[in-house]
Amino acid sequence: MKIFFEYLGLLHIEDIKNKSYIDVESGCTAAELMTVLKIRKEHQKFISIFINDVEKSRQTVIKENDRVKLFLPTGGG
Amino acid sequence: MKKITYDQLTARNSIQLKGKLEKATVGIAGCGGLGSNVAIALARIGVGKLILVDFDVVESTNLNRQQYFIDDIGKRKVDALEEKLKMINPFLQIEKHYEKLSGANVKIIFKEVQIIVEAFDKVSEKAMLVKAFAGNLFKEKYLVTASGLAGYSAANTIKTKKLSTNIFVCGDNKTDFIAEGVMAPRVMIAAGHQANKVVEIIDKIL
Repeated sequence: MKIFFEYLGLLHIEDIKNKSYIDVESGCTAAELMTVLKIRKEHQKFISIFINDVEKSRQTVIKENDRVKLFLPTGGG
Repeated sequence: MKKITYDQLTARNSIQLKGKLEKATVGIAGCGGLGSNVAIALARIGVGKLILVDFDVVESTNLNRQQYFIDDIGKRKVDALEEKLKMINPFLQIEKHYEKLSGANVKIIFKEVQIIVEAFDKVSEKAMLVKAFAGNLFKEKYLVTASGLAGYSAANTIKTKKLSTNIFVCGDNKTDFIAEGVMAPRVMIAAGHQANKVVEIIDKIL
């Protein structure tokens, strides 16, 4: 199924264009998406997940045409 | 000490905000580079109450970006910042918490605020506060976080973006303090974005 994918922060995701439609398996959770995208474990623990403009848990099942946004803050303040 | 009235303090504010700012309570999570600058901006325009949270003391290395002076070194940041804020706005109510914010105490400390400003410098603490907004705990509150304000690259790369219906992020989302250092100009720009977003939210909800 297709979802709209966006990320903010110093994430290195190979072969995925930021702010684009990507294909993921039906029934995929937010946690599984991060694994499929090969996001490093040390980054995953600090990432917040937003689906259709609402912050969601890692167990949330992603649906077709969802707008999924991953946010990894960078340090400094 | 010379005296002024609240109306004098706020005389040059946008007229649309009249009667709104003094009703606002804003939480400042961290009183370092971002938090001290945001707090001063909000005090200047007449925000009603600030809840300041920080577990640190002022150090000499803070002075390149934080709103403290040499004589503040060694003071608790919440105490030193309170002194500055009261010198600007004597009408401001201030609640201070000299402690570390965590997932366990954040909902208690910020129970009464309408808006929280995330002003930490560590990634783990920033992430903790953003994650606290997942679920229903803070569904009636707003969070204005910051990410990417290090170094001295183009100022115009610092933007305010919407993460969700009640969470906004200010910064370039790229630069990191370990690699690039943190200095007053970009920290103050990001803090200005945060303070301005707070004002927009106050105008919308109050």
